[in-house]
Amino acid sequence: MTTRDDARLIQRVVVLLDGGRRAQLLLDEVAQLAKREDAELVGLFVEDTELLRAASLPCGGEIGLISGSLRPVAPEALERRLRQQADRLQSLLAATAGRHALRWRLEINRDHLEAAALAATMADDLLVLYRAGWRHPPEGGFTSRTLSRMLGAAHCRVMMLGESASMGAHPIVAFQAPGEAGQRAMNEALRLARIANQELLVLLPHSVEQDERARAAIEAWGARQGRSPRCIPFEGEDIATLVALLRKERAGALVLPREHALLRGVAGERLLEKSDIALIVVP
Amino acid sequence: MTGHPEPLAVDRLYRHCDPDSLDFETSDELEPLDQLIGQERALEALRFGTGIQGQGYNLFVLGPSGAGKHEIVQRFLHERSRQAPTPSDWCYLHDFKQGSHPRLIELPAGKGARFRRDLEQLVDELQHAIPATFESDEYQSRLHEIQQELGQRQSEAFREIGKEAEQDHIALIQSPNGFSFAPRNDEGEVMDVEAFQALPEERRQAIQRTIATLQEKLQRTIQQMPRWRKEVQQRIRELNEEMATASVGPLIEELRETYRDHPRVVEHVNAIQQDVTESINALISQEARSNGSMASVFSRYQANLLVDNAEQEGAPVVYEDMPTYQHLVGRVEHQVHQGALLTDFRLIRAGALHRANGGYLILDVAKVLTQPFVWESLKRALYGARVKIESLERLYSLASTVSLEPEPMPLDLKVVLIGNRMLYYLLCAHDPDFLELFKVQADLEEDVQRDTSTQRLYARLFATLAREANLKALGRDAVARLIEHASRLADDSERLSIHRRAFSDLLREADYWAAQAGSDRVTAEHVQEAIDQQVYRASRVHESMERSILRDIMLIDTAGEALGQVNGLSVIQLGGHAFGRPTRITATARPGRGGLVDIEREAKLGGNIHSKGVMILSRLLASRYAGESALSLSASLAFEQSYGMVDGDSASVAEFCALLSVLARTPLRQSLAVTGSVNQHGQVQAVGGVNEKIEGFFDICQARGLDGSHGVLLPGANVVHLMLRRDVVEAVRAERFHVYPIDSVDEAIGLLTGVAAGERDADGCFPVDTLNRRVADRLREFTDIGRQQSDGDNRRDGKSP
Repeated sequence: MTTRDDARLIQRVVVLLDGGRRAQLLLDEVAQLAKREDAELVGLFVEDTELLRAASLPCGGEIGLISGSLRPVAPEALERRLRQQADRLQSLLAATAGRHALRWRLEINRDHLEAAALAATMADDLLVLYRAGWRHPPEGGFTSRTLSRMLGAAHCRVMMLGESASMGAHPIVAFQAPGEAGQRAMNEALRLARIANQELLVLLPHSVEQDERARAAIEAWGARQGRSPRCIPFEGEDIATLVALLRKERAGALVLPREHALLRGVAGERLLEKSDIALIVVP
Repeated sequence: MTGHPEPLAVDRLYRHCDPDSLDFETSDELEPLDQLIGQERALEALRFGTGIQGQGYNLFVLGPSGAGKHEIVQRFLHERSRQAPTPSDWCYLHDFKQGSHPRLIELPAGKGARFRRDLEQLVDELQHAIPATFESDEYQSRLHEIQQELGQRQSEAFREIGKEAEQDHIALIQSPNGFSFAPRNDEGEVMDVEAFQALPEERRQAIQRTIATLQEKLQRTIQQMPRWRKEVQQRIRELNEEMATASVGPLIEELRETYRDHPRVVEHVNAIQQDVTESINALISQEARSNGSMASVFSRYQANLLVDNAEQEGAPVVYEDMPTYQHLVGRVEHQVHQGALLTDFRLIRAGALHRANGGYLILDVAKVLTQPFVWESLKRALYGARVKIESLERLYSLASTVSLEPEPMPLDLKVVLIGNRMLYYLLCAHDPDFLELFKVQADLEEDVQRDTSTQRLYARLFATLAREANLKALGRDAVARLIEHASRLADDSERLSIHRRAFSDLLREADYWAAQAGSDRVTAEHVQEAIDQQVYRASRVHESMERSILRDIMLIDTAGEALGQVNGLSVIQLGGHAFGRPTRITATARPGRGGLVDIEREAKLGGNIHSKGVMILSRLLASRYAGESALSLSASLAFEQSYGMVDGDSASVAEFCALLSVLARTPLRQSLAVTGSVNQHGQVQAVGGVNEKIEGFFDICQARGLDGSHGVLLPGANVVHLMLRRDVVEAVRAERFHVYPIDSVDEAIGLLTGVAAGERDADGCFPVDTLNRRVADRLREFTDIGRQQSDGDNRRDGKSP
């Protein structure tokens, strides 16, 4: 088991903003995260080209998220709306960064949403995304399908904030997974636990749980970093069981390697929908 | 012929109490007195009033100030209340149906405090149980499941539409505002407008139809979402209620079981359970936990124990020494919160009526009548047999703000009013409700018969008072002196005053003087010193008036003789001190038809009783001396140097003598003073304040030098009232001062003139050289003069005589 000092691993925290109200609510949380990581806060606002093209088509029109009514959207009106959203985000970002004494920037890209998000991030960035909530759909956020695609394609760490938004003062949970990717995820979890000064929980697959040596190794690995990880047996890959366990342990974040089976295809979307804690995916 | 009355013997002037007749050395040897002396009538009234049931049988204890009314009533009621059952406890509770009408619950004595504790414990347990329940894994999982179900349902719906769109190469694009559909090109990107326009017309229309269909579907889906959300909210509510019932149920059940014999309590407990269930969504919200509204909701479940009789043994006896409206009927207090006045059922405060319910409430009637709205409120409570807490501003519509209207408390108590007789009779006369509500009067005696047995009881009374006040023991000589003083306070040598406060004060002051003298017991000298000091402290005005007389500023002769001038005697009461002083009364007489003029009355300085006295003596004069002929007299009477109101008829003998003197042209002895009232037959009647009057004249005469000629004439009926000062008694013993009892005006005029008054003989004439003969002759002269004048007038007017 390898370790390294990666306390200053994140250079930039890039948060994808969609101009909705939820972005405003989450920005403070993301700013705190950037502060903890001593990273630059970058707001990324994408003027979705697909949306602009759709608006220019004669069959275009927008169905309201709340009202369900169809209304025409002229390209000029859409442009105006995007400009207003960008201006609002600029002010909001400036105020939030000011409160936390952060370096900050707002990037505005006109591109396909997913492509823009992936293009704007580098390996040592943390991309923060957020899911649309069930309680307040008009407040914005991205669908689990969009998020699932971005999680799979990103070449940097991705944090997906769920309904409860905040990592808060809660344990960080990691899956004990084989291979280098699994180890990277474990390291990331340990790093987060250290900077947030929270407990680290490691979920052990059943077969490994029986192996006391694995448990001892994990504890020794944690001890070297000044932490005392707690191992919890976890059987199977059932999302409902996992969510129940996370809730029972009052977990604040779950760290997974990108290749983890739980993130593949529709299962990944289900996990994103069911989990309301922060999900951190390590490439 | 009427003889001069003899002066009174010394033993008639003062009734001594012989210390040797008391069979103890000091008061320490005496048993304490636990009975009331001479108050059998009042005690019987108290027994009756407290024993009888029925509306309006409340009591009014009347008697003079300082008679010990409070001690008597308190002692009696405390004794009586021990035999009575202890009344209930009363609690105010929140009314969950009408928050502004707190409910009143009655519980057996002692159970109120337990109920309050049980509710406090319930609140305490709720404060822990509810958060624990709603933070539990079970609740959170179930809640999460419900929430996720909606999220999943929405996602599935969008996913289905998205999938259907993809099959037709249509993209579903989401923005913060909503969804758009757009055709994709072969590369999977959304088509731009040029590419779309380049498509064949048929293809374009097909795409538009497909998009229109998808839009309709999406619209229907979105329009269904509020209903889905509502369903979820309902399920969450049901979950919350289920969890609340599970959490609260056992706690409530325990209370229901404990108070199963008290239906109103069980009803309230059920209401609490229902309220917890209904309020649970508000209780578990993040805002409720952070802003304290949870505590506010829980506070409604507490009890305000208005009346707690847990420690009470028997019925309560409450004395309200400041019976304001709020102190009597209770009040609703308010708390200031961010500038606003807030209240709830916990701020309801009991009044004296609540505390005394089931027992006795003692009130001073003077205070009740002088405090605004109290008398009316008391009557209202007694008539309605219930007490309602209402603020005055609400009662009189001075404020229209919403406030509490607590449920009234049913009343079952006896109100005992304490006051003086005047207030009792005024209320009887002017308030028709009074006798309806206070049917029992307990009228305290002011004095009791003085005999050996009562003297013995008084000795024990003084001993008890001294003991209660931790005073030195009283020597038997002191007790004897105190008994004598009790007679003096009663203004009667055969009675003893019951003025407890005066005795208590005198005992304390005698104790002080004994301490000053270094004595370990109180003796008669210390009692006398205390009496003398009391008189001295109050005598500034008295001495000032005496000084005026001695300096001849106020003209009073105490020697020689004078025509139509006599020394009358009056009493001046200043606070607690009364003193007598002589007043010069003069008379004039001349022929005429003016009759007898009372100058005091003409000057509006004479009271009705004084006027009545003058009218009586006027009639006496006419009937005695004018016979059947008309009285031709123009006379006047005046109190010289009197500048204030004169009332009472105690000067009518003196006035009559002054009038006879001027008519008979016979001077009166100025060394004598006269008091007494006269009736139409010339009999002298008793008057008040004889001790002070005699002492007042004695002081002046003594200051000028007693020579044996000085004295006072007083009605014979007043002799029993004499309890004169020791120096007066000693002067009489030395024959330097005299007290003459008189029964008729003839005796008085005989003493004052030295001339026999004379009685009518068989012919109806007074003997020659008697005073009455002189008066009759003079009046006849006046009649002749009057007739001559009348004849002269008639001749001038041309009328025949």
